[in-house]
Amino acid sequence: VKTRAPLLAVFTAVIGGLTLLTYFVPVFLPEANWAESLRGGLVEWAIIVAAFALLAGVANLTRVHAANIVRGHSRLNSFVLLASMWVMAPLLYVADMVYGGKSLAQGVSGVYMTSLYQYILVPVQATLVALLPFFLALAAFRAFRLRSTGRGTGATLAVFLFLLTAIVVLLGQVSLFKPLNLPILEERLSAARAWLMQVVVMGGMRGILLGVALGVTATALRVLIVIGQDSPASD
Amino acid sequence: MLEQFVGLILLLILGISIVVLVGSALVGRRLHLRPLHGYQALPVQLGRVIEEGQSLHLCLGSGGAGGSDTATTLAGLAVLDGLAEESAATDVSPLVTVADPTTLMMAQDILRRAYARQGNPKGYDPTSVRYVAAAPLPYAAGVMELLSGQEASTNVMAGVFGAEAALIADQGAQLGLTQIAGVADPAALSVLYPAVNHLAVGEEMFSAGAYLRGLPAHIASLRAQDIARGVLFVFILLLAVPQALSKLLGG
Repeated sequence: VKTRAPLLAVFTAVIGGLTLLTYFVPVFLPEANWAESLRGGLVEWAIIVAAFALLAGVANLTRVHAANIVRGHSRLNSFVLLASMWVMAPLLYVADMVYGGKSLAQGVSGVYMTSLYQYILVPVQATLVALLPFFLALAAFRAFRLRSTGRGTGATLAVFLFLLTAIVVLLGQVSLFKPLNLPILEERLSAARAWLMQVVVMGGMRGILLGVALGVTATALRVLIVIGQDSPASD
Repeated sequence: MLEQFVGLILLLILGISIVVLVGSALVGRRLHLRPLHGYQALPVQLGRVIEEGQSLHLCLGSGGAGGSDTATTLAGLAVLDGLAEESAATDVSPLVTVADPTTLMMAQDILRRAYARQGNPKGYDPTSVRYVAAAPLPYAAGVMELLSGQEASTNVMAGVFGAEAALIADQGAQLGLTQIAGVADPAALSVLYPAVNHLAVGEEMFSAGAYLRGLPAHIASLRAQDIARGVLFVFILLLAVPQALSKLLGG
Protein backbone atom coordinates (compact mmCIF):
# COMPACT_ATOMS: atom_id res chain seq x y z
CA VAL A 1 0.00 0.00 0.00
CA LYS A 2 2.85 2.37 0.94
CA THR A 3 4.47 2.18 -2.52
CA ARG A 4 1.19 2.63 -4.35
CA ALA A 5 0.01 5.64 -2.31
CA PRO A 6 2.29 8.32 -3.86
CA LEU A 7 1.40 7.08 -7.36
CA LEU A 8 -2.32 7.28 -6.56
CA ALA A 9 -1.86 10.76 -5.09
CA VAL A 10 0.01 12.00 -8.18
CA PHE A 11 -2.57 10.41 -10.50
CA THR A 12 -5.44 12.06 -8.58
CA ALA A 13 -3.70 15.44 -8.56
CA VAL A 14 -2.94 15.28 -12.31
CA ILE A 15 -6.50 14.33 -13.27
CA GLY A 16 -7.97 16.95 -10.90
CA GLY A 17 -5.58 19.65 -12.13
CA LEU A 18 -6.32 18.78 -15.75
CA THR A 19 -10.08 19.02 -15.18
CA LEU A 20 -9.62 22.41 -13.51
CA LEU A 21 -7.37 23.73 -16.29
CA THR A 22 -9.91 22.86 -18.99
CA TYR A 23 -12.20 25.57 -17.54
CA PHE A 24 -9.56 28.24 -18.25
CA VAL A 25 -8.25 27.11 -21.65
CA PRO A 26 -10.86 29.25 -23.50
CA VAL A 27 -9.40 32.38 -21.80
CA PHE A 28 -6.18 31.93 -23.77
CA LEU A 29 -7.36 29.73 -26.68
CA PRO A 30 -10.96 30.73 -27.52
CA GLU A 31 -11.12 28.25 -30.43
CA ALA A 32 -10.09 25.20 -28.41
CA ASN A 33 -13.15 22.92 -28.25
CA TRP A 34 -11.09 19.93 -27.13
CA ALA A 35 -10.91 21.30 -23.57
CA GLU A 36 -14.65 20.97 -23.02
CA SER A 37 -14.85 17.48 -24.49
CA LEU A 38 -11.85 16.38 -22.39
CA ARG A 39 -13.52 17.70 -19.25
CA GLY A 40 -16.82 16.02 -20.22
CA GLY A 41 -15.02 12.70 -20.69
CA LEU A 42 -13.19 12.93 -17.36
CA VAL A 43 -16.35 13.89 -15.46
CA GLU A 44 -18.22 11.01 -17.14
CA TRP A 45 -15.53 8.59 -15.96
CA ALA A 46 -15.87 9.96 -12.43
CA ILE A 47 -19.63 9.38 -12.54
CA ILE A 48 -19.13 5.78 -13.76
CA VAL A 49 -16.60 5.06 -11.00
CA ALA A 50 -18.92 6.64 -8.38
CA ALA A 51 -21.82 4.47 -9.60
CA PHE A 52 -19.91 1.35 -8.50
CA ALA A 53 -19.92 2.73 -4.96
CA LEU A 54 -23.67 2.02 -4.91
CA LEU A 55 -22.82 -1.70 -4.63
CA ALA A 56 -20.98 -0.93 -1.40
CA GLY A 57 -24.03 1.03 -0.24
CA VAL A 58 -26.39 -1.87 -0.92
CA ALA A 59 -24.01 -4.30 0.83
CA ASN A 60 -23.80 -1.99 3.88
CA LEU A 61 -27.58 -1.58 4.05
CA THR A 62 -28.09 -5.35 3.79
CA ARG A 63 -25.49 -6.12 6.44
CA VAL A 64 -26.81 -3.58 8.96
CA HIS A 65 -30.48 -4.50 8.55
CA ALA A 66 -29.88 -8.26 8.45
CA ALA A 67 -28.04 -7.86 11.76
CA ASN A 68 -31.03 -5.86 13.10
CA ILE A 69 -33.40 -8.69 12.18
CA VAL A 70 -31.16 -11.30 13.83
CA ARG A 71 -30.79 -9.18 17.00
CA GLY A 72 -34.50 -8.33 17.10
CA HIS A 73 -33.86 -4.59 16.96
CA SER A 74 -36.37 -2.61 14.80
CA ARG A 75 -37.14 -5.95 13.21
CA LEU A 76 -40.22 -4.84 11.22
CA ASN A 77 -38.55 -1.74 9.74
CA SER A 78 -35.49 -3.70 8.70
CA PHE A 79 -37.58 -6.51 7.25
CA VAL A 80 -39.69 -4.13 5.12
CA LEU A 81 -36.53 -2.37 3.90
CA LEU A 82 -34.74 -5.58 2.93
CA ALA A 83 -37.87 -7.07 1.34
CA SER A 84 -38.39 -3.91 -0.71
CA MET A 85 -34.80 -3.90 -1.83
CA TRP A 86 -34.11 -7.59 -2.47
CA VAL A 87 -37.50 -9.04 -3.39
CA MET A 88 -39.74 -6.40 -4.88
CA ALA A 89 -37.30 -4.40 -6.96
CA PRO A 90 -35.67 -7.45 -8.67
CA LEU A 91 -39.13 -8.98 -9.28
CA LEU A 92 -40.33 -5.83 -11.00
CA TYR A 93 -37.13 -5.61 -13.03
CA VAL A 94 -37.56 -9.22 -14.17
CA ALA A 95 -41.22 -8.52 -15.01
CA ASP A 96 -40.11 -5.52 -17.03
CA MET A 97 -37.66 -7.65 -18.97
CA VAL A 98 -40.23 -10.42 -19.59
CA TYR A 99 -43.15 -8.22 -20.58
CA GLY A 100 -40.98 -5.59 -22.27
CA GLY A 101 -43.31 -2.76 -21.28
CA LYS A 102 -46.33 -4.39 -22.99
CA SER A 103 -48.23 -4.83 -19.75
CA LEU A 104 -49.10 -1.65 -17.81
CA ALA A 105 -49.41 -3.48 -14.52
CA GLN A 106 -45.90 -4.87 -14.67
CA GLY A 107 -42.38 -3.56 -14.77
CA VAL A 108 -40.33 -0.71 -13.39
CA SER A 109 -42.44 1.99 -15.00
CA GLY A 110 -45.65 0.00 -14.48
CA VAL A 111 -48.50 0.67 -12.16
CA TYR A 112 -47.08 -1.19 -9.11
CA MET A 113 -43.83 0.72 -8.96
CA THR A 114 -45.37 4.13 -9.72
CA SER A 115 -48.16 3.49 -7.20
CA LEU A 116 -45.60 2.69 -4.51
CA TYR A 117 -43.81 5.93 -5.30
CA GLN A 118 -46.92 8.06 -5.69
CA TYR A 119 -49.02 6.76 -2.80
CA ILE A 120 -46.40 5.88 -0.19
CA LEU A 121 -43.12 7.73 -0.70
CA VAL A 122 -44.48 11.09 -1.89
CA PRO A 123 -47.17 11.47 0.86
CA VAL A 124 -44.73 10.42 3.59
CA GLN A 125 -42.14 12.95 2.38
CA ALA A 126 -44.79 15.67 2.05
CA THR A 127 -45.93 14.98 5.62
CA LEU A 128 -42.39 15.34 6.90
CA VAL A 129 -41.94 18.66 5.06
CA ALA A 130 -45.28 19.91 6.42
CA LEU A 131 -44.03 19.23 9.96
CA LEU A 132 -40.96 21.44 9.50
CA PRO A 133 -42.57 24.79 10.55
CA PHE A 134 -43.75 23.22 13.83
CA PHE A 135 -40.29 21.80 14.52
CA LEU A 136 -38.80 25.22 13.82
CA ALA A 137 -41.24 27.06 16.09
CA LEU A 138 -40.48 24.57 18.85
CA ALA A 139 -36.73 24.89 18.28
CA ALA A 140 -36.94 28.70 18.39
CA PHE A 141 -38.89 28.58 21.65
CA ARG A 142 -36.43 26.08 23.13
CA ALA A 143 -33.47 28.21 22.04
CA PHE A 144 -35.00 31.33 23.54
CA ARG A 145 -35.62 29.56 26.84
CA LEU A 146 -32.14 27.97 27.00
CA ARG A 147 -30.02 30.82 25.71
CA SER A 148 -31.75 33.50 27.74
CA THR A 149 -30.81 31.76 31.00
CA GLY A 150 -27.24 32.34 32.15
CA ARG A 151 -25.64 33.04 28.75
CA GLY A 152 -25.13 36.79 29.05
CA THR A 153 -26.93 39.69 27.46
CA GLY A 154 -25.31 39.20 24.02
CA ALA A 155 -26.85 35.77 23.52
CA THR A 156 -30.22 36.89 24.89
CA LEU A 157 -30.24 39.90 22.58
CA ALA A 158 -29.38 37.68 19.59
CA VAL A 159 -32.25 35.29 20.34
CA PHE A 160 -34.61 38.22 20.97
CA LEU A 161 -33.70 39.75 17.59
CA PHE A 162 -34.12 36.34 15.94
CA LEU A 163 -37.64 35.94 17.33
CA LEU A 164 -38.59 39.57 16.62
CA THR A 165 -37.43 39.22 13.00
CA ALA A 166 -39.34 35.95 12.62
CA ILE A 167 -42.53 37.57 13.96
CA VAL A 168 -42.19 40.67 11.73
CA VAL A 169 -41.51 38.56 8.61
CA LEU A 170 -44.43 36.23 9.40
CA LEU A 171 -46.90 39.04 10.14
CA GLY A 172 -45.69 41.01 7.11
CA GLN A 173 -46.33 38.00 4.90
CA VAL A 174 -49.89 37.17 5.97
CA SER A 175 -52.82 39.58 5.84
CA LEU A 176 -53.67 39.17 9.51
CA PHE A 177 -54.73 42.78 10.10
CA LYS A 178 -57.05 43.08 7.12
CA PRO A 179 -60.18 41.91 8.97
CA LEU A 180 -59.34 44.32 11.82
CA ASN A 181 -59.30 47.20 9.33
CA LEU A 182 -55.81 48.39 10.26
CA PRO A 183 -54.29 49.22 6.86
CA ILE A 184 -51.47 51.41 8.28
CA LEU A 185 -50.21 48.62 10.55
CA GLU A 186 -50.37 46.15 7.69
CA GLU A 187 -48.50 48.54 5.38
CA ARG A 188 -45.77 49.19 7.96
CA LEU A 189 -45.30 45.48 8.67
CA SER A 190 -45.14 44.71 4.97
CA ALA A 191 -42.55 47.47 4.44
CA ALA A 192 -40.52 46.22 7.43
CA ARG A 193 -40.63 42.71 6.05
CA ALA A 194 -39.49 43.86 2.61
CA TRP A 195 -36.61 45.85 4.13
CA LEU A 196 -35.53 42.93 6.30
CA MET A 197 -35.60 40.50 3.37
CA GLN A 198 -33.95 42.77 0.79
CA VAL A 199 -31.32 44.44 2.96
CA VAL A 200 -30.52 42.46 6.11
CA VAL A 201 -31.26 38.89 4.96
CA MET A 202 -29.90 39.38 1.43
CA GLY A 203 -26.71 41.03 2.71
CA GLY A 204 -26.11 38.31 5.28
CA MET A 205 -26.90 35.55 2.80
CA ARG A 206 -24.51 36.96 0.18
CA GLY A 207 -21.78 37.21 2.79
CA ILE A 208 -22.30 33.58 3.81
CA LEU A 209 -22.41 32.37 0.20
CA LEU A 210 -19.23 34.30 -0.63
CA GLY A 211 -17.49 32.68 2.32
CA VAL A 212 -18.77 29.23 1.31
CA ALA A 213 -17.53 29.75 -2.26
CA LEU A 214 -14.08 30.66 -0.92
CA GLY A 215 -14.15 27.67 1.42
CA VAL A 216 -15.10 25.30 -1.40
CA THR A 217 -12.36 26.70 -3.68
CA ALA A 218 -9.70 26.59 -0.96
CA THR A 219 -10.66 23.00 -0.03
CA ALA A 220 -10.50 21.89 -3.67
CA LEU A 221 -7.13 23.57 -4.20
CA ARG A 222 -5.75 22.14 -0.96
CA VAL A 223 -6.75 18.64 -2.01
CA LEU A 224 -5.03 19.14 -5.37
CA ILE A 225 -1.88 20.93 -4.17
CA VAL A 226 -1.10 19.15 -0.89
CA ILE A 227 -2.68 15.84 -1.78
CA GLY A 228 -0.07 13.71 -0.01
CA GLN A 229 -0.87 14.96 3.46
CA ASP A 230 -4.52 14.33 4.20
CA SER A 231 -6.27 12.76 1.26
CA PRO A 232 -7.78 9.27 1.17
CA ALA A 233 -4.89 8.28 -1.10
CA SER A 234 -2.23 9.26 1.40
CA ASP A 235 -1.71 6.11 3.49
CA MET B 1 -14.67 35.44 -20.68
CA LEU B 2 -14.30 38.14 -17.98
CA GLU B 3 -15.81 35.82 -15.34
CA GLN B 4 -13.32 33.08 -16.24
CA PHE B 5 -10.44 35.57 -16.05
CA VAL B 6 -11.55 36.85 -12.63
CA GLY B 7 -12.00 33.24 -11.49
CA LEU B 8 -8.50 32.39 -12.65
CA ILE B 9 -7.02 35.38 -10.77
CA LEU B 10 -8.84 34.34 -7.59
CA LEU B 11 -7.67 30.74 -7.99
CA LEU B 12 -4.09 31.92 -8.46
CA ILE B 13 -4.29 34.09 -5.32
CA LEU B 14 -5.67 31.16 -3.32
CA GLY B 15 -3.26 28.60 -4.84
CA ILE B 16 -0.14 30.72 -4.32
CA SER B 17 -1.24 31.61 -0.76
CA ILE B 18 -1.75 27.92 0.09
CA VAL B 19 1.66 26.94 -1.31
CA VAL B 20 3.47 29.80 0.50
CA LEU B 21 1.63 29.22 3.79
CA VAL B 22 2.13 25.44 3.72
CA GLY B 23 5.82 26.09 3.04
CA SER B 24 6.12 28.50 5.97
CA ALA B 25 4.22 26.07 8.24
CA LEU B 26 6.57 23.25 7.27
CA VAL B 27 9.66 25.33 8.16
CA GLY B 28 8.19 25.80 11.63
CA ARG B 29 6.36 29.14 11.48
CA ARG B 30 3.21 29.05 13.66
CA LEU B 31 -0.01 30.10 11.98
CA HIS B 32 -2.55 31.69 14.29
CA LEU B 33 -6.16 30.43 14.33
CA ARG B 34 -9.03 32.60 15.51
CA PRO B 35 -11.25 30.98 18.19
CA LEU B 36 -14.15 28.96 16.80
CA HIS B 37 -16.45 27.57 19.51
CA GLY B 38 -18.10 24.78 17.50
CA TYR B 39 -14.96 22.87 16.59
CA GLN B 40 -13.17 23.72 19.83
CA ALA B 41 -16.06 22.11 21.73
CA LEU B 42 -15.87 18.91 19.70
CA PRO B 43 -12.76 17.26 21.28
CA VAL B 44 -14.10 18.15 24.76
CA GLN B 45 -17.40 16.56 23.88
CA LEU B 46 -15.68 13.45 22.53
CA GLY B 47 -13.71 13.16 25.77
CA ARG B 48 -16.95 13.35 27.73
CA VAL B 49 -18.57 10.70 25.51
CA ILE B 50 -15.61 8.37 26.09
CA GLU B 51 -15.66 8.97 29.87
CA GLU B 52 -19.40 8.34 30.10
CA GLY B 53 -19.16 5.20 27.96
CA GLN B 54 -21.77 6.51 25.55
CA SER B 55 -21.54 7.07 21.80
CA LEU B 56 -21.24 9.98 19.43
CA HIS B 57 -23.36 10.25 16.33
CA LEU B 58 -21.97 11.99 13.25
CA CYS B 59 -24.30 12.85 10.34
CA LEU B 60 -22.41 13.53 7.12
CA GLY B 61 -25.50 14.63 5.19
CA SER B 62 -26.63 13.83 1.71
CA GLY B 63 -23.58 14.94 -0.26
CA GLY B 64 -21.10 12.76 -2.09
CA ALA B 65 -17.96 12.87 -4.19
CA GLY B 66 -18.08 13.72 -7.87
CA GLY B 67 -20.63 16.54 -7.87
CA SER B 68 -20.86 20.14 -6.76
CA ASP B 69 -21.12 19.00 -3.13
CA THR B 70 -17.70 17.34 -3.10
CA ALA B 71 -15.85 20.07 -1.15
CA THR B 72 -18.61 20.35 1.48
CA THR B 73 -18.61 16.55 1.86
CA LEU B 74 -14.82 16.58 2.26
CA ALA B 75 -15.23 19.23 4.97
CA GLY B 76 -17.65 16.89 6.78
CA LEU B 77 -15.19 14.02 6.39
CA ALA B 78 -12.48 16.24 7.92
CA VAL B 79 -14.61 16.31 11.09
CA LEU B 80 -14.67 12.50 11.10
CA ASP B 81 -10.92 12.50 10.46
CA GLY B 82 -10.46 14.76 13.49
CA LEU B 83 -12.46 12.43 15.72
CA ALA B 84 -11.29 9.10 14.31
CA GLU B 85 -7.82 9.03 15.89
CA GLU B 86 -9.01 9.40 19.48
CA SER B 87 -11.99 7.14 18.84
CA ALA B 88 -9.69 4.42 17.54
CA ALA B 89 -7.27 4.88 20.45
CA THR B 90 -10.08 4.42 23.00
CA ASP B 91 -12.05 1.92 20.88
CA VAL B 92 -15.20 4.09 21.10
CA SER B 93 -16.15 4.37 17.46
CA PRO B 94 -18.63 7.10 16.48
CA LEU B 95 -21.78 6.04 14.66
CA VAL B 96 -21.55 7.71 11.25
CA THR B 97 -24.54 8.03 8.92
CA VAL B 98 -24.35 8.94 5.24
CA ALA B 99 -26.74 9.29 2.29
CA ASP B 100 -24.30 8.74 -0.54
CA PRO B 101 -22.36 5.55 -1.28
CA THR B 102 -19.16 7.46 -2.20
CA THR B 103 -19.23 9.17 1.20
CA LEU B 104 -19.82 5.75 2.80
CA MET B 105 -16.62 4.41 1.25
CA MET B 106 -14.54 7.46 2.19
CA ALA B 107 -15.86 7.50 5.77
CA GLN B 108 -15.17 3.77 6.18
CA ASP B 109 -11.66 4.32 4.83
CA ILE B 110 -10.96 7.15 7.31
CA LEU B 111 -12.04 4.99 10.26
CA ARG B 112 -10.22 1.91 8.99
CA ARG B 113 -6.95 3.87 8.59
CA ALA B 114 -7.32 5.43 12.06
CA TYR B 115 -7.69 1.96 13.65
CA ALA B 116 -4.75 0.68 11.60
CA ARG B 117 -2.55 3.61 12.73
CA GLN B 118 -3.45 2.83 16.35
CA GLY B 119 -2.32 -0.78 15.83
CA ASN B 120 -5.85 -2.10 16.29
CA PRO B 121 -7.09 -2.96 12.77
CA LYS B 122 -9.43 -5.66 14.15
CA GLY B 123 -11.22 -3.10 16.30
CA TYR B 124 -12.61 -1.41 13.19
CA ASP B 125 -16.27 -2.21 12.53
CA PRO B 126 -17.40 -1.36 8.97
CA THR B 127 -21.03 -1.08 10.14
CA SER B 128 -20.16 1.88 12.36
CA VAL B 129 -20.60 3.83 9.10
CA ARG B 130 -24.14 3.37 7.80
CA TYR B 131 -25.71 4.15 4.48
CA VAL B 132 -29.21 5.24 5.52
CA ALA B 133 -31.00 6.39 2.37
CA ALA B 134 -30.30 7.91 -1.00
CA ALA B 135 -32.37 11.11 -0.65
CA PRO B 136 -32.30 13.91 1.97
CA LEU B 137 -35.75 13.41 3.53
CA PRO B 138 -35.64 9.61 3.89
CA TYR B 139 -32.10 10.08 5.23
CA ALA B 140 -33.35 12.50 7.90
CA ALA B 141 -36.17 10.10 8.81
CA GLY B 142 -33.70 7.20 9.05
CA VAL B 143 -31.31 9.20 11.24
CA MET B 144 -34.17 10.21 13.55
CA GLU B 145 -35.05 6.54 14.00
CA LEU B 146 -31.39 5.63 14.61
CA LEU B 147 -30.92 8.40 17.16
CA SER B 148 -33.96 7.31 19.16
CA GLY B 149 -32.61 3.78 19.46
CA GLN B 150 -29.00 4.78 20.20
CA GLU B 151 -27.36 5.54 23.53
CA ALA B 152 -25.74 8.66 22.10
CA SER B 153 -25.03 11.76 24.13
CA THR B 154 -23.74 13.96 21.30
CA ASN B 155 -24.99 14.58 17.79
CA VAL B 156 -22.67 16.21 15.24
CA MET B 157 -23.90 17.31 11.82
CA ALA B 158 -21.26 18.23 9.26
CA GLY B 159 -21.74 18.09 5.51
CA VAL B 160 -24.45 18.74 2.96
CA PHE B 161 -27.82 19.47 4.55
CA GLY B 162 -30.97 21.33 3.56
CA ALA B 163 -34.06 22.19 5.57
CA GLU B 164 -34.41 18.49 6.54
CA ALA B 165 -31.64 19.12 9.10
CA ALA B 166 -34.38 20.55 11.36
CA LEU B 167 -35.90 17.06 11.71
CA ILE B 168 -32.62 15.54 12.90
CA ALA B 169 -31.87 18.50 15.19
CA ASP B 170 -35.33 18.30 16.74
CA GLN B 171 -34.93 14.60 17.47
CA GLY B 172 -31.56 15.34 19.06
CA ALA B 173 -33.05 18.13 21.16
CA GLN B 174 -35.91 15.89 22.32
CA LEU B 175 -33.36 13.31 23.45
CA GLY B 176 -31.37 16.01 25.25
CA LEU B 177 -28.23 15.52 23.16
CA THR B 178 -25.46 18.09 22.89
CA GLN B 179 -25.58 19.14 19.25
CA ILE B 180 -22.80 20.60 17.13
CA ALA B 181 -23.33 21.46 13.47
CA GLY B 182 -21.32 22.76 10.54
CA VAL B 183 -23.26 23.47 7.36
CA ALA B 184 -22.89 25.68 4.29
CA ASP B 185 -26.42 25.84 2.93
CA PRO B 186 -28.38 28.98 4.03
CA ALA B 187 -31.61 26.97 4.42
CA ALA B 188 -29.90 24.51 6.76
CA LEU B 189 -28.20 27.34 8.65
CA SER B 190 -31.49 29.08 9.32
CA VAL B 191 -33.20 25.93 10.61
CA LEU B 192 -30.22 24.82 12.70
CA TYR B 193 -29.45 28.17 14.35
CA PRO B 194 -32.16 27.89 17.02
CA ALA B 195 -31.83 24.13 17.43
CA VAL B 196 -28.14 23.34 18.09
CA ASN B 197 -25.65 24.24 20.81
CA HIS B 198 -22.73 25.16 18.52
CA LEU B 199 -23.01 26.11 14.86
CA ALA B 200 -20.15 26.58 12.37
CA VAL B 201 -21.55 29.01 9.82
CA GLY B 202 -20.71 28.91 6.11
CA GLU B 203 -16.95 28.99 5.52
CA GLU B 204 -16.27 28.05 9.17
CA MET B 205 -17.27 24.47 8.40
CA PHE B 206 -14.33 24.14 6.02
CA SER B 207 -11.91 24.71 8.91
CA ALA B 208 -12.54 21.42 10.74
CA GLY B 209 -9.18 19.90 9.77
CA ALA B 210 -7.32 22.97 11.02
CA TYR B 211 -9.01 23.02 14.43
CA LEU B 212 -9.35 19.30 15.09
CA ARG B 213 -6.04 17.97 13.76
CA GLY B 214 -3.96 21.12 13.30
CA LEU B 215 -2.65 19.91 9.95
CA PRO B 216 -0.43 22.55 8.25
CA ALA B 217 -2.25 22.14 4.92
CA HIS B 218 -5.63 22.80 6.53
CA ILE B 219 -4.36 25.79 8.52
CA ALA B 220 -2.70 27.15 5.37
CA SER B 221 -5.89 26.82 3.32
CA LEU B 222 -7.83 28.56 6.10
CA ARG B 223 -5.36 31.45 6.11
CA ALA B 224 -5.47 31.56 2.30
CA GLN B 225 -9.25 31.89 2.53
CA ASP B 226 -8.78 34.88 4.83
CA ILE B 227 -6.36 36.49 2.35
CA ALA B 228 -8.74 35.93 -0.58
CA ARG B 229 -11.61 37.30 1.51
CA GLY B 230 -9.57 40.42 2.23
CA VAL B 231 -8.85 40.89 -1.49
CA LEU B 232 -12.54 40.45 -2.31
CA PHE B 233 -13.51 42.89 0.44
CA VAL B 234 -11.23 45.57 -1.04
CA PHE B 235 -12.64 44.91 -4.56
CA ILE B 236 -16.23 45.17 -3.32
CA LEU B 237 -15.43 48.43 -1.50
CA LEU B 238 -13.70 49.84 -4.59
CA LEU B 239 -16.76 49.06 -6.71
CA ALA B 240 -19.50 49.88 -4.21
CA VAL B 241 -18.24 53.11 -2.60
CA PRO B 242 -18.09 55.23 -5.83
CA GLN B 243 -21.57 54.01 -6.80
CA ALA B 244 -23.01 54.79 -3.38
CA LEU B 245 -21.34 58.22 -3.38
CA SER B 246 -22.66 59.07 -6.84
CA LYS B 247 -26.17 58.08 -5.73
CA LEU B 248 -25.87 60.16 -2.56
CA LEU B 249 -24.60 63.19 -4.45
CA GLY B 250 -27.32 62.76 -7.03
CA GLY B 251 -24.94 61.97 -9.90
